[in-house]
Amino acid sequence: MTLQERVSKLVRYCGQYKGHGYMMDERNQDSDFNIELTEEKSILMRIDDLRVILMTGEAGDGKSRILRNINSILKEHGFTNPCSDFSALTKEEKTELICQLKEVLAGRDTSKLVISANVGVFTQAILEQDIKIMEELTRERGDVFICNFEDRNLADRKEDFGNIVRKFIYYDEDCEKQDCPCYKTCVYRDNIQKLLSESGMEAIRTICNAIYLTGGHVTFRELLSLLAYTVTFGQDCEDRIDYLNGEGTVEKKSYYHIFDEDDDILLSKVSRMDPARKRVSYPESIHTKEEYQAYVRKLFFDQGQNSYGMLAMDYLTEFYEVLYYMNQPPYHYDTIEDRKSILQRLKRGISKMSSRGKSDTGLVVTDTPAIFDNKIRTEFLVMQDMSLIWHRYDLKIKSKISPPKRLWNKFYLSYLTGESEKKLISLLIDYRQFRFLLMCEEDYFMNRNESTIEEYAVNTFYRKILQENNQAYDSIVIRFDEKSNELCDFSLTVHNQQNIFTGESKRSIRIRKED
Amino acid sequence: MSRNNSSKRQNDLAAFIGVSGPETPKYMLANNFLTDYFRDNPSTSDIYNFRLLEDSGVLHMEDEINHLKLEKSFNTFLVRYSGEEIIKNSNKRLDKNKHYFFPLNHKMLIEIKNNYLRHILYYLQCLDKEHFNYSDLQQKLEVYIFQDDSGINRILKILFQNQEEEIITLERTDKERIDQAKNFWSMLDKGEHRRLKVLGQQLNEDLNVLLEHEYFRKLDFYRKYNYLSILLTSYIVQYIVRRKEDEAYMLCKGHPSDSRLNGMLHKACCDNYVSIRNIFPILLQQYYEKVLAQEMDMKESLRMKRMNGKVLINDREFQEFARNVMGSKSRSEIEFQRIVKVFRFTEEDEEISISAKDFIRRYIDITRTRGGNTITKISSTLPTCGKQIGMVFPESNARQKYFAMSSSLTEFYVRLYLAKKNQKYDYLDNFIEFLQKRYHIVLTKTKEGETLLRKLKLNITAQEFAKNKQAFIDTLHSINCLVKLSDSGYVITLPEEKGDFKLI
Repeated sequence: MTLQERVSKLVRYCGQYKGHGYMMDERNQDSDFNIELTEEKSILMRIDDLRVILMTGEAGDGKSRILRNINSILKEHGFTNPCSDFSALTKEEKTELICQLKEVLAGRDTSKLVISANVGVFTQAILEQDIKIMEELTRERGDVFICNFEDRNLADRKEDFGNIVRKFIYYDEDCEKQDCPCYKTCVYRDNIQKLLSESGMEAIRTICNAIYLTGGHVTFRELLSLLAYTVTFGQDCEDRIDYLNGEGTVEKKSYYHIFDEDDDILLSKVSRMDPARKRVSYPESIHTKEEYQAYVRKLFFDQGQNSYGMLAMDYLTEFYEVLYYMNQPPYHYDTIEDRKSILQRLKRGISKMSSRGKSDTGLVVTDTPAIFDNKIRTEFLVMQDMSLIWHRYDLKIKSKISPPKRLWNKFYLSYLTGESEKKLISLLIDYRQFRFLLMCEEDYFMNRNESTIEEYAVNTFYRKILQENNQAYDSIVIRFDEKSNELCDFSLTVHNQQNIFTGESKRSIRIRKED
Repeated sequence: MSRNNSSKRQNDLAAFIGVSGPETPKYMLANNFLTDYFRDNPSTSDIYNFRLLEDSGVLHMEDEINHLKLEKSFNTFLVRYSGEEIIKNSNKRLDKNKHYFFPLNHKMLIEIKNNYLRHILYYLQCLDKEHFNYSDLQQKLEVYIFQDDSGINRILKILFQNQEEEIITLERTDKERIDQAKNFWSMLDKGEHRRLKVLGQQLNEDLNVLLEHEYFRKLDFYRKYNYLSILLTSYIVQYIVRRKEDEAYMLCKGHPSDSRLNGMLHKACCDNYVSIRNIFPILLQQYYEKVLAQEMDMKESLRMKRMNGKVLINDREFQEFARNVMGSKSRSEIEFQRIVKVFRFTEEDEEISISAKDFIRRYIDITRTRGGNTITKISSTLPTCGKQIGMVFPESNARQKYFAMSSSLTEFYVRLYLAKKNQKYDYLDNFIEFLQKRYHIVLTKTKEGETLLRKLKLNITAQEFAKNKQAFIDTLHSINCLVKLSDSGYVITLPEEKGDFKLI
């Protein structure tokens, strides 16, 4: 394929090029480009054991493509005609399918089902029927394959990502149109070569990873659109010539302008991470803002690995570092014993948030009933050396710990409880929560008037731990928000008295001034 | 007869409407509700403080240097955590010398006895003759409220150990209850009776869920008591809505103060609020018709005459007629000039003939503007109860009010809904549908919402309803009750369950 042919194919993947609908139609007919996704491989590996295949995700995640690719194999293995769009079914059809699914899961129906659905619509249909179907589906049965594409990160594995990029933008022959004004200075070629280079590919992967790490999701279609746009900026050769004949400049269409502001949802996410938003040192030869932007953005694309720190996202490097750490054996870390500095900082952040800077020894939890304002707070010491565990997102109690299959964008802080049956009380730490806690650690802000959702999550976590430790309520510290000479903070502690002569026991309360 | 008779009329009026004045604060409403099941402490002069507890040997201090400071600090803490301060601050009309508390123990259960009509919820429960089990509910309430020693209440229970008394439950036979309810609801017509019976049944169902399900039962005293108060107060609002008509719905903003919800939606919400509140003048009109029917044939007209600076009605002086027939309690007389203006007298010795219905309409018009009159007082039940549970906004005295879902009320309904279904989570749309079907709360574009808007002659676009839903989603998100599945799919869950939440 020549460069010009590749460009004319790529440009159709850009949402900006002659409307999105065209691009989607074009995609479906593009038989030259096909990638075998990991999910496809997994289904084929387990196909003999499977009775239910459920694929959920957004439009553009590649569900239909997989179904098309493996359609004949599914038929060979006795699967019914795939339901390729659950949302398009009528209410009655949905009910019928869910009933059949229930019967299949219960072993009363020997059919084999394949369902592709929007996770929201599918969940709604199940919840309307019977919530137990959901429990059965998520029980990790050997005969059920569930793939939620919204949790997938295409940039997770370097090899797979590189494979997609190479297959998608590669060309065999250079353009020989000598009459083209861009001959020899073609930016398409430069852009493709940059993306195919080790550093360029890693830079794009870092961008996609960053979107995932911060809670976003890049669909397969969006990834292709992003790559196509980075090469073409939505212009085919004709458009480009017109553009250059006008007042356009070649530089504006270089790969690093992917960080320019744009209304497109995905591109706006990219532009928010623009490395040029951060202040870095630069050579004396740079005088204008545009020169600075170009310098820093190029630097990002030249950096290659470990360039998260260059993106304008607070604490992203630290977050990545922790997630990477969670993927290293033993995958779980005691909060007291583990000395990883970033986790120590996170712990301090939690402590500062929950006990409002009053204590960093032991775990003090503010548990003021919501019906009072916070002018008088009641605090409880859960325990002096409470053992909590940081751990990988997909670890489960009592199950074998297997090596990670991927890097998740979240992890847990958990407390082990229960006497006869152990269970975990967990705080989910995603990017937002992580960022909030590190900001607390750095004393950036403390909103005293109302709880943020992140604060709410931490308080709920500790309140659940408190409930497991009833003795924690044997001692309260009462703190006054407004200090005055007439009032002082004090503690109330349960005192158990036993009369050694009569054996009678009595409980009273001891009051003591607190600092 | 005048004073006694007019006072009786006032009670009759309150009985006709069902409420006699705002049931504030919500905690006292809950306390009064509890006194339908447990004997209360008649004394309102008991006080609890450092000295009392120190003298009774349950509070010890070894720090003599800071004795005074500690005493004052402890008393400041106690006056708040016993509920005394919050109850006093939220009801300015309470006598400053009387003391009311949260029912941390049985002795602290004190009823506000201003008016027997405050026990409307109990009578509502009694309407559900088939399912209401008085003694069963009594036992559940006892466990829920008095047998709690979790959380902060653990220490407070020890502090009040010498103040504890044996819980005395009330006994009411089935016949007694049925008669009481029959008497209380005698003013209802058949349709109203049917609607309120359904509401009573609903209240009993909700109470049983609240008292039994672990989503409430496992919480500490303050949270449990707060939720009980919210549930009970919400049923006063529900009573007003159901009393109006079958198709009465509350068009609710998804967030109390979201700037996206201005414009037509705001106007529709305000108009809807007014239409619900208008139940009171309508009931008042019906009541006066009933009263007047005892005096005269309603088909006949009243003769009114202006004479010597006075207005006569059927030869009786207007003020005397207002007091003894209409039951006016106001000490100040209605201004002569105002009567002349409203009844459109133009000259001295003019005589007019007016139909009974027209007379009542104009009479209400005259009395409406008088401060502290009955209808103002009764009408304020809706905003005060609504404000107490975070359902009526703005909280200031602004004239244009509307219904909206505050975060605390939303969290309560999520908890109640999931407890009813005994599930840890459910789909958001199912929850919104539940709010509408069970509590007549309209948040999104629905058939009922359309009917409502047609009545109000308003046109709300689908986009505006979508914004309202988005605002409600934000409210749910802010209280950690929401899990996003996809761009359009959400699941609601309890804040304490969200951390462990995993789906497909």
